[in-house]
Amino acid sequence: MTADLPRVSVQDVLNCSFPVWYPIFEKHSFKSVILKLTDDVVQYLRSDKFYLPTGANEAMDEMRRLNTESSDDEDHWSDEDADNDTTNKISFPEFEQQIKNVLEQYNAVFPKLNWSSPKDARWMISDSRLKCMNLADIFLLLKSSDFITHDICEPFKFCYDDTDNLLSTIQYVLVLRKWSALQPSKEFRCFVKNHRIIAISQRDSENYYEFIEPVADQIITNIVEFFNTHIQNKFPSSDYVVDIYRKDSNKLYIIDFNPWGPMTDSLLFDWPDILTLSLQNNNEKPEFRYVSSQNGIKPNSYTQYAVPKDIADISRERDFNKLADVLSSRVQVQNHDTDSDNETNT
Amino acid sequence: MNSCETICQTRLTQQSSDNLNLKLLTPLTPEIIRRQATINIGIIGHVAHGKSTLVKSLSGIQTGKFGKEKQQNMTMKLGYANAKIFECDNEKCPRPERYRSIGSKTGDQFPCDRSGCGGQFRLIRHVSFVDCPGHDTFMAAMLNGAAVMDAALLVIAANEFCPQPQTSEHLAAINIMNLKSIIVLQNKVDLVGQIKAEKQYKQILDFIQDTNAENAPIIPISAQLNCNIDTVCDYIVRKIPIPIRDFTSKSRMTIIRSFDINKPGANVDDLKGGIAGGSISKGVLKINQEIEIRPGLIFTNDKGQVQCCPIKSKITSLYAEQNQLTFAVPGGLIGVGTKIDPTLCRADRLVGQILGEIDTLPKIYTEITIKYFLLRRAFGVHCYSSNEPPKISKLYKTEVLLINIGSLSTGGRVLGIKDDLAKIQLTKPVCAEINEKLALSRRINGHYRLIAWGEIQEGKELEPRMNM
Repeated sequence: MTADLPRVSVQDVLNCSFPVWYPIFEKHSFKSVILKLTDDVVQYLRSDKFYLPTGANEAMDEMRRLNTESSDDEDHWSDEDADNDTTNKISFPEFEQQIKNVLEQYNAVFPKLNWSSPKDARWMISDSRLKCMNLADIFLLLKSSDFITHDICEPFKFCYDDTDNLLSTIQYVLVLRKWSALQPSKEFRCFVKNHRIIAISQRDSENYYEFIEPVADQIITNIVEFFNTHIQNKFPSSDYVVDIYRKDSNKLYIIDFNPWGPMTDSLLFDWPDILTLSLQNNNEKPEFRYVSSQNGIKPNSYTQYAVPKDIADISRERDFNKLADVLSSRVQVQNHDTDSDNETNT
Repeated sequence: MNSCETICQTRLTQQSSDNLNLKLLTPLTPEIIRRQATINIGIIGHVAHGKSTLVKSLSGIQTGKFGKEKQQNMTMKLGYANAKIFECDNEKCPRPERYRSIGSKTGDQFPCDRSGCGGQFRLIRHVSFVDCPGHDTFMAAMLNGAAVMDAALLVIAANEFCPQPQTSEHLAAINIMNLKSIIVLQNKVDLVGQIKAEKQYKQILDFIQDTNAENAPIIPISAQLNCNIDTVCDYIVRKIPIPIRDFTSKSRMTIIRSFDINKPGANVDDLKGGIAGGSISKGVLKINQEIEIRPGLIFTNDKGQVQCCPIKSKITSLYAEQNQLTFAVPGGLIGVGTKIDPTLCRADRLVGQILGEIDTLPKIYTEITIKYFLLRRAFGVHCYSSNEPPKISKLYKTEVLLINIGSLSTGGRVLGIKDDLAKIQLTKPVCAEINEKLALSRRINGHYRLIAWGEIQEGKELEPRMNM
C-alpha cells in the first residue's frame, strides 16, 4: 500500500529559503553573503529583455579592447540604425557595488537566489560551472536561467495553499557563496521524515564512483551523526530534504534544503519508494542508494537547458508538429541561401 | 567490476589496436561491433502506439518489469537502447527464426535454440535504437543539421485508423530529414482480427504513397507478445544499407561530460586522471593516443586579457556502456580516461570543449560575424495567451542571446548589425569552423525560443598559448 504523494505548503517552501535557514546553520555551511534585491532588480530579472547593466557592458567592451591587436574596421558597423541604440542603459549602482565588494572579499563566488542557483545556465560562461569572478558573469547567469525565473516568478507553483498576493510579500535576495570547487561524488541528498533521515541518495546520480561502495556504511554513519548533532529538530519543518557535502569522514557541510515533495528530484529513488520507507516506523539506518556499477557515459541532463525550449517541447512530445516545422524552416533557409547564390551567379 | 561483468568481458574476444588499419574498418567490423553500436536506427511514432515496448523487445529487456528498477526505466529516459543482432550460422536454419535481437551485454556467439539445429548465433549487427522524438541531446544535434539516424522504423498501431494526425507529422519529419531507409511496423496486431489488420494495411499503403516511405516494407508485429520481432531483425539486416562512415579522418569528439573519480583523501600517487565523455564525430580514438582539448584552460591574465591554454594528454582508457575498448569509433557515448589533472575535469568543467588529435582541432573564437536569417514568428502556438505566436523582432545592439553552434552552446552579445550580417561577442571562447551552421534564441515568455538560423562568416580568433 503506497501513501499519497505529499502536499507541499507555502510555509514549507519558505522554510527552505536561504535567508531563513542559513542564519540557523551558518556554522555548518559554506561562507555566504546575503544581498537584498531591490524592486528594480527584481523587475529586471523578471523581464524577458536581456541587456547587461551598464557596468557589465562596459566591462565586456573593455575586454574586447584589451584583446584587439590591430584596430578593427568598426566604422561601417557602428550605429547603422539610429533607433537600434534604444535606451537599454540599465544600472543598479548600489547593488553592483555591493556585489563588487563581495567579489573583492571572496575573489570568486557561487550565486543563487532564495532557492535556486542558475545551474541550468552554466553554458553561458567559461568552464561550464558557476564560478563568477566579475559582474558580467553573475548577471549573465541570472538572466539566462529558467531556475532563476522560477524562483522569481512562481516559487509557490507546486504549493497547495498558494494565493495571488504572496509573490509581492517575498523579500528576494542574491546569495553569494565563497567559491569552492566541490566534488560532485561527495554530495548526498538526504530525505528527512519526522525529523529522521530515512533515505540517502548519491546526488550525482548519473555517474559511477568506484570508491563509494567500500565505504558506504561509513558514509551513512558520518551523515547520520552530522545530522543528529547539527540539523535534527533545528529545521522548522518536520519533513524536508537536505543536501550534505561530505568532504571527509569528519568534515561535513550543509549545501541546501528542499521541500519534502515531488518537486524535489528524488534522484535514485522514486517518491513512492520514499513514502513506503517513511511508513516503516523502525529505527533502522537509512537506505542508501548509489550507482553501483559502470554503465557507460549517459547523455547530460542539463542539455535541455542549453538549447531553445522548442527542442525540449519536441523531445517530450508536447508538440511533435514543431519537429516538422523546425526542420522545414531550416531547409527553407538553406534553399534561400542557394537561391540567392544562384541569383548572384546569373 | 563484479564477477558478472568480468565474465562478460572475457566472453568478448580481445580487441587489439596493434594492427589497426583504419581504411579497412566498417560499421560491421567484428572487433568493433562486439563493443560498440555502429548503426543508428530511429524509432519514430507516437508513444501510445507501442514504441517503448518495441524497444524493450528488441533490446532484450523483459517487458512487464515496469517501475521496479530505476535503472531499467533510465533506458527510456536516455532516449536510446542498444541491441546486438545475431544470425544462426547454420544455412539450413530458416528465416526469420535464424535472426535474434538481444541486449548489448551478450557475448560474441551462443548456441541456436532451434531444436536439432546445432548452429551458433553469431553477431552481425550492433544497433542503437534511438527514440524519436527523444532525448534532447539527439534533438539538439538535429537542430544544426547533424544526421543522427541511418534508418527509421515507423511504428503505427494496428488498432487505430491510419493516418493518425501525429503519424502524418512523423512522416513529414522523415521526409525532411531525407531518410530513405524506412521500415513500417504495424504494431499491436494481437488486438485486432485478421480482417481489420488487412484493412489497415491498405490504409498504410495509401498513406505512404508519394513519400520517402513509399517502398518501405510493412511488417505486422506484436511487441507486447514478442511476435514477429525476428522478422524485424531479418529486414534490418537485409534491407537497411550499411552506412558509410569515415574512420580515417583525424579524430574528434565533443565533450558532453567530464569528471574526477578519485576518492576523498587519495594519495598523490594513487590519483587517477580525469575522464571526458562524449560522442566521436569522426575518426577513431585509440589507447595511448596523444590528444588535445580546446579551448582548454581559460583564464584572465594580470592585464585583464582573456587567454586559453589547450590541454594536452594521453588516452589511458576507453569505454562504451560496460565495455572496455582499445579503440573507439563513432557510435554512442564514449568514456575517455586520460592523464589530465582531475580537478580540470571535475563537475563537467570540460563540457562544450573539443577533444581530438593534436594540432588538428578547430580555431578558437571570442567573436564571430554571422549571416543570419530571422524567423517571422516563434514556433508553435501553445503556451501563448493569444492564438498567434509572437512576431520576432530584429536583433538589438548589446542584447544577449543563446547561440547553438553545431552541438555547442554559448551566450553571445550583439555588437552590431548590417543587412543580413551580425557581429557577436561570445560570452566564452569556443571552437568553431567558418561556415558552421548555428541557431540563435532569445528569451520569450521566460524561456529561450528559436528566433534565427545563421552561419559563421568569419571571426576573431583567440591565439592559444601552448604553455602556462
